[in-house]
Amino acid sequence: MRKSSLTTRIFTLAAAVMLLLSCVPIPASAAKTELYIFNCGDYIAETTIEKFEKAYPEYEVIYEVFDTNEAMYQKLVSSNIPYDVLIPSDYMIERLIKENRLKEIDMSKLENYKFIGDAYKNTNYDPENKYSVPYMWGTLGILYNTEKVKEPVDSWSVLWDEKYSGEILMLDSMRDSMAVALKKLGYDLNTTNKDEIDAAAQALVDQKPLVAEYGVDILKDKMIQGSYSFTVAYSGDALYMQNQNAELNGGKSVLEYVIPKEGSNFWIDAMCIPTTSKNTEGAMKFIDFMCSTEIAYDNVEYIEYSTPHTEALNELGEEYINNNIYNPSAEILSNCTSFSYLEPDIQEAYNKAWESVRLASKDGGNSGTTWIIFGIVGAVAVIAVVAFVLYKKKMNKIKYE
Amino acid sequence: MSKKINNALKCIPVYLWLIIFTVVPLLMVFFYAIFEVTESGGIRFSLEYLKDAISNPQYLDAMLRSLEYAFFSTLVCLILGYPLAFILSNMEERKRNFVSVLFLLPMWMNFLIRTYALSSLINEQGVVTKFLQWLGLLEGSITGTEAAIIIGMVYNFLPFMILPVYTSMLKIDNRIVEAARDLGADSFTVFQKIVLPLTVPGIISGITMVFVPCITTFVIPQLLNNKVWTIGSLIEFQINGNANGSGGVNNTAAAISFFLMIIVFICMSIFSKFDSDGAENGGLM
Repeated sequence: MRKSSLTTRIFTLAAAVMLLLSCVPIPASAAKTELYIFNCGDYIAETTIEKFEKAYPEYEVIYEVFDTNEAMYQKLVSSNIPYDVLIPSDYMIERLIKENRLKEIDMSKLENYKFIGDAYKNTNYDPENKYSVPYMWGTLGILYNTEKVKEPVDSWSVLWDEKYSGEILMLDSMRDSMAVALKKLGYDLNTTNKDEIDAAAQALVDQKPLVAEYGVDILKDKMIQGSYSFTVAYSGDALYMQNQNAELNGGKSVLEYVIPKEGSNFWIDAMCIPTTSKNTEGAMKFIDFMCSTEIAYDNVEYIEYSTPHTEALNELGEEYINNNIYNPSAEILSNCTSFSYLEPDIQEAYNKAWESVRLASKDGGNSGTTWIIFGIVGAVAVIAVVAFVLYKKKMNKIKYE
Repeated sequence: MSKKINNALKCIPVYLWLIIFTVVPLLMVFFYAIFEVTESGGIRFSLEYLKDAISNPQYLDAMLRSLEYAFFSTLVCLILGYPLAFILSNMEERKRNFVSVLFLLPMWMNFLIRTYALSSLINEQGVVTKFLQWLGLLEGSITGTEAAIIIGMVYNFLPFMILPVYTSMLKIDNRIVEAARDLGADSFTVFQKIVLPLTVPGIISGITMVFVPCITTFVIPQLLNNKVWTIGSLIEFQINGNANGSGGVNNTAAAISFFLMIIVFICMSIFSKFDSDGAENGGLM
């Protein structure tokens, strides 16, 4: 849900279209109540909806997908579709709560709520657990290549170390990269202090000459291939890269993930019931169903993000429980904060800061560039000569005819 | 009289098309560049966004950078495309049709996919990069350099240069060339006095079709060298990356786009100065 590069967006769109198409031909039978679910694209196991409809035949699920939280918000607010269950991210939930767009959920009526781990409750977006039930979570950290980096990595400031110039990949995502800089400087990643925001932007501008590339999905392959030393990564993606790298290296991955000591971002996507819901009873049943061990396991197996569901985690086995990417210690997690919703003027300050980072140009005098230009000029010259010869031939032909 | 009315009626679909897809969107861009929607839903006049778009030095930088990339890409396209179109137009007809299909072939594929493919050739693991490294001509990768952006643009837009030039070359009446030769013109004079002037409309439409999309493309720079934003990436961020989600309208993006359109318009009118005679010869495709 955090990544929204062009490719993912296109795939999501394709998935959305397919889902919508598949919804059309089903004749709405009068006996069934419609249940509107609104989730991020590719963010549920393929069998879950089917299983739900089998377990609760009285409901007909209308499943819709969005690609960013912002797009979800737009649609929720502007369309008249009576959504019953939403699965947005933490900061968006905070915004929805502030704007009174969510219904309170009576957790005592959810049989399976007990399976949700305590570390994912009483969060700063929903401090009293009144509005949301955690679905997936993850962290932001540094993934590094142990073959290239011999020193221990435990701080964000390693990304500012000049000896790794050209070896660092950064996320092309405003909140995440700003969080890296804010944390490196020792500030809160939700700071509303404009001086701190500017300082973070300046730090990122200073770092820019060392950065090889900004991106999201495009960075994954580069790390898997072992071409670079560092990337900032989400835990789910870090795990994926590690597995792929292990495959490439015959079983043992050279990539290590660390959550720096200064702290980082810890995000949660959670299920909630918007005030548009006309079928709250069904929504409760759906949320409870999603929290059952079987379904939670199905979903986590498909999505491969960290699960807040204690039983599903147990079923995944030791390998996952002891994995410090998948399941970092409570101590590390307590050092991490989730993003909170920013008021529009603060958001604007962040936007401006990020813009100034991305627009800052540096004179990266790459010796390769010159050679490429020579190559192009050479090719042009060859083609020009060929053209000239042909031209001459043709002209001569005309002359003698 | 009735013929006149009849003709006017036939034009209605064209006018409708122009109004719906050109005039209205342009007016909307202009509207949002100078009006903002207030929280209460009202509309307020504000020159702030336009002022920001014009006076922010980083925006100007990005615009110049984009113009520079577009200029060099167009130049390379022209230098590569003109001789290629010439070679093509001199082939036998059967061969020529076959080769022109070959040039069009990549365009049957989505340009995003083509750019991904290109990026896998010239990134740090790519075959081309490895080859250049082996020759000792290159350190690091081609992606991430400014040349990568130019290569990407040329790769994607070259057919748009070749085709109009090629079409205008096919239209040259061979008898004119023969007459010139009969009157004693050497091949250089024929080129200078006949071939070049007659292909100017093709060159102009080629330049237009390469230069304009090059300025605003954001996918190519983002896939091949995403270090420094071009103006296209900036506008894309304003619209897509802006996490505000307030109303779906972005005044800054509209203001920048509006400013950009003026610049493009100026560039285009300079180009078309060269094309004073006979725009009707400029076959697009």
